[in-house]
Amino acid sequence: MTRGDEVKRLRRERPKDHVVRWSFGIFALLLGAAWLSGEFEVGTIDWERRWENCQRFLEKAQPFPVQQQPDASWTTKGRLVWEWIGGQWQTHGREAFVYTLGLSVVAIVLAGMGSLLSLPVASRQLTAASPWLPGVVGSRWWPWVGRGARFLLILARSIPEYMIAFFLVVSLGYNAWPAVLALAIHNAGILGRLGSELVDNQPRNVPGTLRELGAGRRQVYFLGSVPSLFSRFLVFFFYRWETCVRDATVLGMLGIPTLGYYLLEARAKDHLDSMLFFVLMGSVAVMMGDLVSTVVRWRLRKGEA
Amino acid sequence: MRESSLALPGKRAWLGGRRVTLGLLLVAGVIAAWVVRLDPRVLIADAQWHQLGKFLSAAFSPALVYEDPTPARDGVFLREIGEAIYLTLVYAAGAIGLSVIGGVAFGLAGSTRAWLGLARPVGVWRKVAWLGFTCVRAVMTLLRSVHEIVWAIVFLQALGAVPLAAVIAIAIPYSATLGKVFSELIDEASPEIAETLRANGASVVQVYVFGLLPTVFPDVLAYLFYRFECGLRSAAVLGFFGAPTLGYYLALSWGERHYHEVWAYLYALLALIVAVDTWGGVVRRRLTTRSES
Amino acid sequence: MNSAAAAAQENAFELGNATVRFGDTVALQRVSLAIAEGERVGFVGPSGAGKTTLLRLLNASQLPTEGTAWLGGVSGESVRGDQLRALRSSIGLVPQRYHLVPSLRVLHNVLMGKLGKQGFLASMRSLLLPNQEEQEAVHALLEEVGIGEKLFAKTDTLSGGQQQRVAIARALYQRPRALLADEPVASVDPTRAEATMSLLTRLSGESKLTLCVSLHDRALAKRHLPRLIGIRAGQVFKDAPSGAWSDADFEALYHLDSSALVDA
Repeated sequence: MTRGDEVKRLRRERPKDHVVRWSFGIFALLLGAAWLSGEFEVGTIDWERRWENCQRFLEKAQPFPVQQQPDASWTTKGRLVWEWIGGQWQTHGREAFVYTLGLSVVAIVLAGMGSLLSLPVASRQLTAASPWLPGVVGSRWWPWVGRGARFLLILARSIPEYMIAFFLVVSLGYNAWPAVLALAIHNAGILGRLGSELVDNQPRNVPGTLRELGAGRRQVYFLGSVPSLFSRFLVFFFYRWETCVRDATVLGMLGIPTLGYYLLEARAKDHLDSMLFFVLMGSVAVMMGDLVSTVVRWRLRKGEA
Repeated sequence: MRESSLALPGKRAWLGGRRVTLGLLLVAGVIAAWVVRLDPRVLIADAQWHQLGKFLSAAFSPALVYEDPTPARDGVFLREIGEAIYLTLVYAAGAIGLSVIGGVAFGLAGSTRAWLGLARPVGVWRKVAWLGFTCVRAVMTLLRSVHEIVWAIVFLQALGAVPLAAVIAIAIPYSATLGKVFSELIDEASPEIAETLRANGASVVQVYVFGLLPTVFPDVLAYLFYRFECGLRSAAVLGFFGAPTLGYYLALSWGERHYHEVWAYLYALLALIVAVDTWGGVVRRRLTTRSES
Repeated sequence: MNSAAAAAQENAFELGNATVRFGDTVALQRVSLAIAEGERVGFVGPSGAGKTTLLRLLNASQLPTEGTAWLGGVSGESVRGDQLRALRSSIGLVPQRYHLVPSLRVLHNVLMGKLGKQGFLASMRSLLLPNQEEQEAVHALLEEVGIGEKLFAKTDTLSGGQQQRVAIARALYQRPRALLADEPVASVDPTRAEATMSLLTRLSGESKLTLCVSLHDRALAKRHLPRLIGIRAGQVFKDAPSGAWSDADFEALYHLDSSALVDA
């Protein structure tokens, strides 16, 4: 056989992962097809009106005092804007800002507590018939506890937090509870899954040795898994807190007094400048959360290395 | 304290011990609860649990036809669900498609390697590179820090109702998030592969395209599946703000207190998300399996 | 051109009082040596003595802080851009940990050896759509190193020894004048160490490649490499035919005296 034939044979018989190939293909097709579906088509007729709309938005989004004095000098404008920001911050800004951050903290602490309780029963290893010692005859019902817990966690993280809060507002009223519970449920689902994956991907030596020494499920979890995985779990915890801040801003749109509430209120009053102020406040809150979370996670990783 | 460091090798966790950390977080939670006036009495005295009970009990019998005997909307209920699922998929896929483009651009432009690592600029150019890097990163952070719902509201206000607004609203923060993850993957990719290819005589661009991109590709693809799942949730929620996705119909039925219909939409959304989650899980497992050598 | 430069052209590598400093640390100090075309040389010496820096110097990945480094008559300092790439490309490097792209097939990893000789578009074409000749050329090289069957295998499914062969094939695909191997037999079992050294010497013998290998195993070094250069604390300790290396020389080269411990 010539080398050419040999290469052709090797090429024909090359190892292929059909699942990944097809998944990738279908995924790419889906992304492309969405744009070809024609669902996003925009009529060309009223672009003129839209452009006017846009101009009006840009004009009205300037701080009100600046709109009043369009001919003022730049220094005057700067002073006006600064005073206006101060006024906005005093009226509702500070209140909403603190409320938003507070909401995210309560929610993530609750979510963390919930997931610390749920992750051991959702872990495949810990709910195996005989964790880390597969050769031994073990429990018959623990695997079912695991399946049930994993199913509940999927449910918890699949429903968007905004929808959970939307359902809860009717029963609980326009206070912090619906938002806190919605964020806590959704994030407990995510943290529970990430945490249980940490346990399942843990190198076998520590828990395995403990099992060989005769430790039970709870002992392995608290003595073998928690100490070695704690800081990595905290990394996830702070990462989710960051997204909690982000989501807390918009949950206000359901009537809970976070930044989103005042954003919608300003929009309803057609105070677009004020609306933009709350958009930027939300951005600042998220960036602060981002910064704190990044620093903490960096320190945690460094401590671990 | 030489003795104690000998007795206890290894660093003490930052943030103190585990108990201290947990205690601190709990205290933070309690203070925050006080700040947002979280009153447990509300849950007992004021809450209208029967409302929620009614809604939850409808979970066992999701609607298959309209609850209203004389439906204001015409058509078959199941077909409407199908349409809502389809549009949720289309909106999410459209948004992710855009964010892939944006994310790759941000990922390349936002990595330390692109500015400083491979070409190793010196002198003034180093400062320029730092400035460029910081600017790109700042823009990414700003775009990411505004929630897609807020973007949608801003676009609706500025442009009026366009289907494109919802898609772009999702795509903007998602591009920045993808870009962030992508650039971090590039920066964390093994520097030795890059150095080896440089030693072979490869140019900076070649190292980037043939050395770094294929190395991070499996992780990027796995992450994309996860973002698609998030995109489905975002698209569904934007229905509350007028996009014709599952959230839109769900809110309509909720307004009419047709809880069985609400559950039908909810189950559709759950099925969609669980399906993508499972699919992504399979792909992720296959992509990240490495030989043990 | 003066007579020294003319002499340098005869040799594959010629270092003249080459010193390399990283900040305050001196990695190499006034190293002078000449390696002729087709010669097979081993660099021996304790870890951290400067062997890797020396190999980087021979690859123009590192320029001397002081002194000269002539690589086949060209100085790394005198060229830049495409010429520098061409210079690096003419010297194949097999790194210690192989550094292959794990998610690609073996074929693509080997094709990357040519990057230094191609423009961006040409390399794009060759990597995305490798033609029949390229595939056959890579297959021939893989057969040479003993893993022809693995042409289309995903690189991360290969064993460590197979990956090393891919790295060697990648370096050979550059069609280099010289081959540098950084600790190719560190942390491998004796059988594989022997096989790897035989492969490297056979390859260099077949195509008259200059071969520079850094290693620790004195028996292996003496068996396969006619000339050994001992490096200690950044300086040439002994440069002699391997027959002239006694056990006492190796003892002295690797001997850790108390002052060395304090320095480390």
